[in-house]
Amino acid sequence: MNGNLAGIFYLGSRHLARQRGRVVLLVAALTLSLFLPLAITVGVNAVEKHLRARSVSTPLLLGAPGSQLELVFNALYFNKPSVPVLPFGVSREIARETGATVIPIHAKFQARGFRIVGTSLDYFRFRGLAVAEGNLMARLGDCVIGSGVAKRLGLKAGDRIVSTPEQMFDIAGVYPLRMRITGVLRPAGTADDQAVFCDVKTAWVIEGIAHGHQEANQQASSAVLEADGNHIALDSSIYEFQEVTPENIGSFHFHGDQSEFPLTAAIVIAPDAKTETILMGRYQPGRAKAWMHRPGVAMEELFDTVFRVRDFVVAALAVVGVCALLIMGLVFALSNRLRADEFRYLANLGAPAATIRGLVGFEAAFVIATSAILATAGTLVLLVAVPRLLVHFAV
Amino acid sequence: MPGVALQIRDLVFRYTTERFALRVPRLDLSAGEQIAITGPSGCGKTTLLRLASGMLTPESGSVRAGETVISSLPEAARRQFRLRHIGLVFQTFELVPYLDGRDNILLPYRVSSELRLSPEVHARAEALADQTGITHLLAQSPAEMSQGERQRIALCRALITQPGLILADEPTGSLDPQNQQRAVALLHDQARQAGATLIMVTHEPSLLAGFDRHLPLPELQTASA
Repeated sequence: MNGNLAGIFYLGSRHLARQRGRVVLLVAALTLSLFLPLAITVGVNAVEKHLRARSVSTPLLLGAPGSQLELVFNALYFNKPSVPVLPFGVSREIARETGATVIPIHAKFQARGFRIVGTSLDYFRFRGLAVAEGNLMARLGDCVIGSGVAKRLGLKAGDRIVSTPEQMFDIAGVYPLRMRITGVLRPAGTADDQAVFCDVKTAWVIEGIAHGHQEANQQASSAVLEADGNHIALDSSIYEFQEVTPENIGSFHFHGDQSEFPLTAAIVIAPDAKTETILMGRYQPGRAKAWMHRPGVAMEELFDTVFRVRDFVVAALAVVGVCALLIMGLVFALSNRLRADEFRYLANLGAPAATIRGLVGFEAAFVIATSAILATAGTLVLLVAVPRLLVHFAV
Repeated sequence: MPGVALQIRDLVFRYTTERFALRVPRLDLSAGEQIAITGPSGCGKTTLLRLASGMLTPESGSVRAGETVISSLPEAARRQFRLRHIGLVFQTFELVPYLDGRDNILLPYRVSSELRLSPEVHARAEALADQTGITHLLAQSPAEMSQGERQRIALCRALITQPGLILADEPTGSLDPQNQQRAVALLHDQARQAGATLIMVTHEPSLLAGFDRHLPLPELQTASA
């Protein structure tokens, strides 16, 4: 004799409605037990896929001796500004000797919360970045902003953006430079969307290595502290330009040896595999004054660690999930024991055994099915949402 | 459904864990007859009703309701027969606590794979509730009802399938004397209106008036009735 499915559903749902508080708790507990391991797996996989795509597309990365991962995060994702600096001359030397394309990266400073990346026009070609509005930077003091920056700050080509002083009370330190925005990049779904790009020389101006000011010979004699032949020392009343304009661009000049100017990294695109191998050997980490890295390999090591942690966390959550299931089993068993009289009444009335078995299993089936549906739905939402969030936040 | 005749022949039943044995050599009830079975506590009144309804299987002998020998049916068929043809009123009423009065009355239709819950059945439930004066209880849960009100809900549930045989196991056991008389009168009326055969187990001599016959179980075990 078959059970009455409609009756089982009706009576079962009436019982659940009576016990809704407990049912909600059980569903929440089981949903979380199922969802969390899935969410962690999906999230980590999506982040890994997203990060890996950018790292493997960057063949070689040159940096000062130090942490390989910090360098990769500085040069590829612009989120690690405090890395040891590399002399600009090393990158020029590589370009001259091997014919490699060397793209300087200077990613130390910020403008209104977004990283200022000093680089060259080669960077835009290398990353396949194009302007959606305006043009790429043309002269010192110009910048191009990522789509995320433009959207967040409401800026467009022709507007200005000021670099953020690093230390409020260090008047001799990083100087706020008002940059002209010449263009806005198309969205790329990467860290480029959240950066302010300028020429590396503009970044050096922000760092204080280069500057422009009023002509010394236009100053009142009271401003002159010391003068001997070609050298003149002036007091602080001299006006230092905070923005590069057609009128004052000629006054901007560098101090010191350009080959010693700092870069945080340099992307190296060797002309062939042989050159790449030679460069890896010549700038082997631990043995040279500058170290060459393969970002893909560096990220692979990071992912290995992340995956190990993920596996551990998922395993721990699985154990918690099994415990939750066991507790749930106990709750169902106790619940059915409390309902023993009810099941006996139904049997006395003549309810088919299958109907009673259906009622016994209904609550567990409902909780398990509902939790599975919710956990699956949540995972599907994550599968769609995480890649979009990664693009939106341009990690 | 018209009342069904009940025949018990050479019935022997023994609980496996007890020394008690029930023996009923012969019992015959004609269709529509109303009888009371009395006897002291523990003499086997409830066991006899459970055998008559097919809840228990005799060691030997037979129980026949109409043309059906209940005692020889397999368990599933006995349940099906009970659900369709026998109305049961229990001493503790056996209402499902999370169902309201209406759903408790309609319970046989909710659990059966054979009975169909139609608008006519709903109308019958309303009519029974009206006749027993419990229309206002249809949306209430058993916890909100008095003992007498629960008893009437249980009676409506026993009658909803229009059974040919009503078995009532001390249905007034938890009621005060005034309500006992009222409940038994209601049982008589409803069984008579439905044309059903009625067997009521009781140990209250004051409730015997109105039954066609009164059979003390100790006598039933030794003599033919």
